[in-house]
Amino acid sequence: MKMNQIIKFTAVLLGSAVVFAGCIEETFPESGYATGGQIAESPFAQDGVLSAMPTILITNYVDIEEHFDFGYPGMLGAMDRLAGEVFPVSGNLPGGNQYYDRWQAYLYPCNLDGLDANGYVAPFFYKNYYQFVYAANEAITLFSQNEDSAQNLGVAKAFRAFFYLDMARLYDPLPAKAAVGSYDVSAVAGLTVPIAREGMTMEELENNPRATREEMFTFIFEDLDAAEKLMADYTPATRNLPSLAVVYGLKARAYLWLGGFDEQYAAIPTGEAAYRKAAEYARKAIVASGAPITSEAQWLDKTTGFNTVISSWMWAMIQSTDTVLNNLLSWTAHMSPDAIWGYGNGAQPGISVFSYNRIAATDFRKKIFVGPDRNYAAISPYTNLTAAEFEGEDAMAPIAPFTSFKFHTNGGEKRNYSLGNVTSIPLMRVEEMYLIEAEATAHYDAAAARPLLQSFMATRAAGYSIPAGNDLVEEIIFQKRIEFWGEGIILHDLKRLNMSMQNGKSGTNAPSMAQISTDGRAPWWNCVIPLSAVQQNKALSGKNNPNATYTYKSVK
Amino acid sequence: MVRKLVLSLIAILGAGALFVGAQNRQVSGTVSGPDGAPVVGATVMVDGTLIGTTSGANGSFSLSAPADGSLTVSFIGYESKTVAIAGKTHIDIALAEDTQAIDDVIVVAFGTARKEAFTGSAKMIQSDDLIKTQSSNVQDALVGKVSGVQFASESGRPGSGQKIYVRGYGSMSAQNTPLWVVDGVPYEGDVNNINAADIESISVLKDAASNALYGARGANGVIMVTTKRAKVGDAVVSFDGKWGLNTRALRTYDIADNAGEYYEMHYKALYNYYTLDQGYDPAAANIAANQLLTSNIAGGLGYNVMTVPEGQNLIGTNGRLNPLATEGRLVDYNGQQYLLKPDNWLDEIYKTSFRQEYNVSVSGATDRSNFYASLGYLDNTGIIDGSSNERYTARLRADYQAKKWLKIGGNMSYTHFVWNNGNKTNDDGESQGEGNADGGNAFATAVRMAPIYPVYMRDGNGNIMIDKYGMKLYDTGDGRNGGALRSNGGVSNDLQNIQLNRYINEGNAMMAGGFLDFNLYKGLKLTLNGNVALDETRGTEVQNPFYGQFASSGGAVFKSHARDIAYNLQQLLSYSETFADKHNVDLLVGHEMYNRKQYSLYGSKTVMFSPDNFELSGATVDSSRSGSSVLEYNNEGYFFRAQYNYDEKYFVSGSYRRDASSRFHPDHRWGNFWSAGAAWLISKEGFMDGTKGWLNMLKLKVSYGSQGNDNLGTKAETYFRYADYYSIESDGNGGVTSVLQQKGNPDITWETNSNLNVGIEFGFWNDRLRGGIDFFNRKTSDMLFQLATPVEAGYTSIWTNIGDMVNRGVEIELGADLIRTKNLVWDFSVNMTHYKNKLVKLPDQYKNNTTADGRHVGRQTSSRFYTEGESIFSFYLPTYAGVEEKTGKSMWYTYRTSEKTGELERVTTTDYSTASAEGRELQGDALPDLYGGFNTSLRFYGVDLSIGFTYQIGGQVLDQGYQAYMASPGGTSTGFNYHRDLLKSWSEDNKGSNIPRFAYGDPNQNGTSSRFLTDASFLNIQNITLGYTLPQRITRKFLVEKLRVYLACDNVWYWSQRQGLDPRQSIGGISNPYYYAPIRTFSGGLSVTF
Repeated sequence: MKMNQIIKFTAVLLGSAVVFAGCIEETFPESGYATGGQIAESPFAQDGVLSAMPTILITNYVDIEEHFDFGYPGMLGAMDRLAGEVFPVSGNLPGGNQYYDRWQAYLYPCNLDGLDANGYVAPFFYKNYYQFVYAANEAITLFSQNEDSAQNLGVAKAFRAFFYLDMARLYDPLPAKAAVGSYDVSAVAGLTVPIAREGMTMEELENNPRATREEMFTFIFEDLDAAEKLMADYTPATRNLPSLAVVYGLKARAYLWLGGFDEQYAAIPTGEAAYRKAAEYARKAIVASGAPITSEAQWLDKTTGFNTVISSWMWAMIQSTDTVLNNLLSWTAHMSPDAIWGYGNGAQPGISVFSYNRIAATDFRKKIFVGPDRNYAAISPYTNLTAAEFEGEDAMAPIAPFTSFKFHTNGGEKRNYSLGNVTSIPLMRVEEMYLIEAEATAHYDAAAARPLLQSFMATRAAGYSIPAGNDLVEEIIFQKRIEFWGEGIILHDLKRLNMSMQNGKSGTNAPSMAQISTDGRAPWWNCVIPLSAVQQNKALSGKNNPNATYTYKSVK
Repeated sequence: MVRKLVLSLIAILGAGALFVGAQNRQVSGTVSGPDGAPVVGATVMVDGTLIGTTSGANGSFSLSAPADGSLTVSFIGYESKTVAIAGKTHIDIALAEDTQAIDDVIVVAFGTARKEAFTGSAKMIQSDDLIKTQSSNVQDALVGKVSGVQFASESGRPGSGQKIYVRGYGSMSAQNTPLWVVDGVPYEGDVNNINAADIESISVLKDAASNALYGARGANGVIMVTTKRAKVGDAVVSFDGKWGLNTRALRTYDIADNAGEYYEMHYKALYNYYTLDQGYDPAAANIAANQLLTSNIAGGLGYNVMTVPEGQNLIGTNGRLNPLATEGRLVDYNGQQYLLKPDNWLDEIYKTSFRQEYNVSVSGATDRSNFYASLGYLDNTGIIDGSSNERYTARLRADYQAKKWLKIGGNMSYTHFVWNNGNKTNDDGESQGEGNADGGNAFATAVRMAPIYPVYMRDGNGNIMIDKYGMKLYDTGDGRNGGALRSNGGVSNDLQNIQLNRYINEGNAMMAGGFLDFNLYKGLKLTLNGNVALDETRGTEVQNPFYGQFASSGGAVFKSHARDIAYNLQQLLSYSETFADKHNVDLLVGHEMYNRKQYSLYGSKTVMFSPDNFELSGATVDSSRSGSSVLEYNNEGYFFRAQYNYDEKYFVSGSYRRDASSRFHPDHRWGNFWSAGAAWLISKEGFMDGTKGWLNMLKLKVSYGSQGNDNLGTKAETYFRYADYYSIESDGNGGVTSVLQQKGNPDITWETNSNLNVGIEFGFWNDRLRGGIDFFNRKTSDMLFQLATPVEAGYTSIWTNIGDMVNRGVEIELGADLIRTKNLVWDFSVNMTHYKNKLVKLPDQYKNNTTADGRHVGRQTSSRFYTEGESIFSFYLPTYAGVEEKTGKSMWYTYRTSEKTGELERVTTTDYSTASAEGRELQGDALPDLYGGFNTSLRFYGVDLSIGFTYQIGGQVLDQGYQAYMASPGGTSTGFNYHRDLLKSWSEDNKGSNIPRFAYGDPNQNGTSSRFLTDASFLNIQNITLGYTLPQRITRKFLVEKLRVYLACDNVWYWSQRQGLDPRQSIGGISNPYYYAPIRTFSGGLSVTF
């Protein structure tokens, strides 16, 4: 090699070595996302884990490709539709369209198979709940490591108990009758859902059987007892976190559920013993919360009604502009007929004509439902819609009888969804505690229960008296249906008490495919575990609840 | 030019020197090509001397040569020819085209390879084939041209391109897309931004020996695009212009196409409901069905667009339309007259549109420099309103041998593009827009709408009404049109939406690259490559303020901006030398790094000032949804390759590459990939001398090796599958929190593809018949697998490297010159591929489910069942068992435990949910038995004709379009169109039918089952081109070297098992008629070369 060539060669090699040195670097998200490592290092790590629990309730998305897929509010809407309490009434007027109500699989379980184990919405509850549980388990793991976090640990346990209590009630297969084919739950009687605790290994999770009712409630009460202790002196910074009163409220819900069973369990009360506990904890919740009952003015306020945290709300979901997902993935967009941008104005979620007719004329809660005569003047104090909008100008559908104006958009906004969708949604109101106390008491001491209902109803309907001849418990449940219409909690009561759906009766205002009357509880109130879960957990094989769709026929 | 000068000088000098020699005489003549056209710049040498010249402008030459000598004429692209002078003074020499010269080189990783020395499997496609296709997307030009490669196109939308699968699906969860390499640089931009007219060739590399140097990302094949360089010779200026029309190429199913027919069919459904379900007698059922037919009550259609004499029914007791019925009905509503008249929705949405494209290029080269520049313009209007593509492209490529030891070059391209998509696309998979049965998708609306519904509102005189904004009034089915209420499609009109909403992407894409070649020492060369690609796209979505979802919000504007910048640096050191004339060695070491950053910025506002102002500042209410993000990807590799051949008879090659990807955790990001290949050119052996007369080439080759795949997807989270990934949220109280989105697995690493390729290549009768056969076995191991976790874990999956899959098959390519004469050339080529997919190993977690028949364990995922030993494309559906003769209901098979034997027995059921839960069976595979393409071309004097076909034989496709058209109406879900096969459905007097009864309110009679699996065979005429090249003797008069006029048609026609079914949409066997229909383009063009 000639000298100059060698020099050239060397120079080039050295030059390229500089480029060689550009070794690969790790990348990190610079976006609306962060890795676990980044989060652990952030100054918000502790607080973030706590607030993740209320946040996941309103932001979770489980990818079932439906517009009600916006977390817990979407689930509340689904539960009320399963119960037949809420349905779109717009189809009762020309131009109305029942399909604007997107919870179709829950509305029409006799005509759609979305709720079957391999149906497209079957994972909705199940996936959501366990993703919520994950957030609680993460928090429990973190807060257990530090004594200073004792209160936070209590909060996390309260959240976890709340999730499992819901699941225990939804998935416990209680006997139900089918009008078409057969429906038999005996093979899986008394089974709830698998328990996923903090720190479980993947191997454990892959072979994790459904807990029995007894195991499940033992677990739930462990959490609630711990929360009760840890949160004794705790005041939550915001109402989207539970307080001690909420823990009492959760216990009241749990005991009320157990009151419906005759089976005897060693550690868990059932039947009357449970009802007594339910009444006791409901009262504790009322006292501890110090919450006043929602007033008529608060109820009927067309700007702030049922969209803003008020003192009667013990616990709530609080949205901010950032947590609203978009124009349609939002509670208000579906539930408020004032939301012209959303489904609510098109679907018009409403009440059954039979319930409406039963509400006392003096009951102020009746005012927020459009009357059979569609009198705009009568409803106008409670809606932000103008008379023209009410009548359906500009390709809008006219508002149908029995439409509910209970839920309002933020600030009464009708057109700007980025503002209007930012609402709060109740999770537990003190009124529920009054009604739990009354109902639980009624199961063992009707005489003591009557004044409880009577005094509660005094705040609702002037001159109310318990109709003679009505079953007391049934009357209490009816008032609970009215009080909590649209709030998604009544399904558990109807299921527990083996009550029937009656939307197939003559004169119904339910949409054609939802005109269903059942004999006792509906089979679809026993939710089915999605196939995707059954296939990944060996212990679930052959242990699913039977499919319940098509077990009745809608009248039309 | 320089070369010409040098040669001329030599010739003059030589002539002068030899002049003294006296025996020389002046010889002149012309050089021409096979078509008789003069060849300019050909070298003419006197054999055994240094005397020579080059042919001039009209191919003529003149030199001094000995009378008994001989001349050798050579020119690139032609076979050299030696002619004896034999005392003549004038010699005309015709050169034959050297067909092998171009075909013999294959562009491979970091260089080229001679075809005969190549040990791998690859296919090269030349520019002539590429420019035939009138698409902005060069992918379309590859369809059917390469064996072993499957194409699928869901949407016909301009720019949507093809999904390309090289030798099957390589991965279940990771991406299956091949790596694109443009001029040696990995390309992740939009293929639409590459102008096909600028492409010299495309190589599709299929096996390990070819891909291994792209080891890191070559697992799914590599598509190498090489852009044009100038050819040595005079500068060439060329112009190409084409003008064409686009039409809908999708065939329509055999559906009811007029209102009367549709009413008859819907009447039949209602009549059957009343008689079969409700127990009405025929007369009562006729009355009830007529009453319900056009009513607003559940089951009715809501529209009556027929006029019948007062008091008469629309449908008679014979089930036929009242013969006195006429189309169109005048109604008085709210004091105004309306004419209700049906429209054909498919005709209204699809239209014929115009396309034009122009390309100009200038190229020239000397022995030291090479220059190519081009400009292109494309204006392509889609076949629906609001859909169009406009594109400007420019390219400049040049290189220069600056010093004996240094060559430099640059390559730059620029594209400006504007895409109007017309309808919402579904690229983000949000289950809205294209491909969805509802959700504001105009294609689905047009496909499904019964032919009774009007698109427009018409006044009493039948004129389309105009709204207060001056726009046509569309019928939104909400009662405004004469009080009629449509029973489907919501209160909207998607055809209006495509008129008023906007989905626009516009931007600029640039690529700039340069290289330096250092010739260091004999055969030792260092190459430095650097390249930057920048793609800026501005997205606009406008939801109109007049009608529909955002009308109440005053319209909405969504803006986004994406900047995508990637750079690539390569250092290559190569050495190539021949020892003792027989040992040829070629070595390469290199290093490469690739970095890509994707920036995005977005925001939205509502309440627009004007429907024509698409900017955020022109709207007033902030939607509180703004954001920005950056996504980065790094890839780095070191590699080595050695190639050796002995006497060009025995060839071996080997390569190794070590790669890292930022998609994996730092501890698991490096992967090692390698390949080895060998070939034996049998025809060069002495013992084959006897076959020389008919066999000119026979080669045996084998290769094996591995490549990697790190492509987990394009969304941001797919870049962090190794980490727990949280979304950052507001905690609702002014603070920050985070919610788990995806559980990470730090252990994931490269998915590995091991490829075995064994092949032979042959050429008979001087390559008049040529081809090759390859057997391949492509095994994916350590598959990047989205492993479903127990739902109770709180997340639904983690990514792992578990699972093996094999794609095994055979590919055949044959080409033949059927006729090869001076004025008539006819050739034919065909390729065919047969392969099978098989899952070899699944994770244990995927073995918790058993098929209904108890034969397989695995996991069901919607309509598939993944189990070892079967194809991932096997359908798992209830098996249709025909119609129950007594009731007319559908039957399916299901399994139950026999009470007698205790074993599973197969029985029929009329309950679909039982069949769906307990009776599913593995149906056949979606993959075809054979697929490929064939092409023929004919040249006769100046006329050329070529036709390209693609085909597929066997396989199954789930015909979802047919299924939708065969559905019984139920609830208030009516008004969707019907297939005429329903006329053959079960009835009291047609009990033998295999089609269930057609009755309103029958749920699941048409549940997804084997009934809708259809043979996926098809034959498709992909392209026909007919051209005529004017004789040069005429064009020369206008200073034109070559002038060709042509007609071309793309996507000409296809035949499938059922009219309307398009099995070309996916290789997984799902057809979906709710996409933008494929486009047929018919155009004429002109290409001129100066």
